[in-house]
Amino acid sequence: MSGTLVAVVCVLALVMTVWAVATVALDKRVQLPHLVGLAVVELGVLALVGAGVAALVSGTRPAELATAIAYLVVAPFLLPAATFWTIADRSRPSTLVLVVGCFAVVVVLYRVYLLFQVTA
Amino acid sequence: MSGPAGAPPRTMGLGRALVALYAVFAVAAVSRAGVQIATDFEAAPLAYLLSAFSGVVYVLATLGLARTGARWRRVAWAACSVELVGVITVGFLSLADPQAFPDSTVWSGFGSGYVYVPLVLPVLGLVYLRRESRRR
Repeated sequence: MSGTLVAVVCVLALVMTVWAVATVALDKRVQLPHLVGLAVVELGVLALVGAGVAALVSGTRPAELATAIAYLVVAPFLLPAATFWTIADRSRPSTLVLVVGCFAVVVVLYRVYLLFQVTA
Repeated sequence: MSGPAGAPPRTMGLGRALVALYAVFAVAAVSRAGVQIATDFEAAPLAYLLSAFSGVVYVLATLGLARTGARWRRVAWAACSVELVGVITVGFLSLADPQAFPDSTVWSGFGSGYVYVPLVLPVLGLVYLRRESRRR
């Protein structure tokens, strides 16, 4: 699993986190640009999950295999779930859901990266 | 069972952010317990059963906060209270008797493995529930 790619996607997710915080702080609503940003981060997440699955298929065995698989399964659903849960309610603080979701993506990707560093 | 007149039809605003946080921890605790119990249950049965229990509590808290109506609110109150007692009890026990917890749970060391979010979360939940019940 490429450390550079993980770092890039994590930075994108962090930028999205800060953007969501700013949106709440400025009392703005979630607009189309946010959704485009979220889509970009989600594409990065999918690329990393693809890389992880490819590594598993080609014989890489993380020491904590089950945990690694669980993270790869959960990762793609974080942002869609957070986005849905945010826009289903138009009150402004609900954008904080995006903050939670984007930050969770950062943590999950970093954990996946660490899990793939320790192989059996 | 619906809420009192004038109650919002669904959880709004800050409450939704809280539900999102709870959902993340519900998934984290349940999958952690699933992995631990499925792969190596004999190693630390107490810690793993505790993981599973905390997972169930987080799921109930998530549902209780996400749904509205008096019954779900009672579920949320109960789940957040159990969670607060659980994280404090397990936090003390894991420091006092580390041998009993050879593998960590979400609540070990007051949730230090999760930047203490498990300790803050039930407090936020209870504060939110209290504020909401006063608003009505």
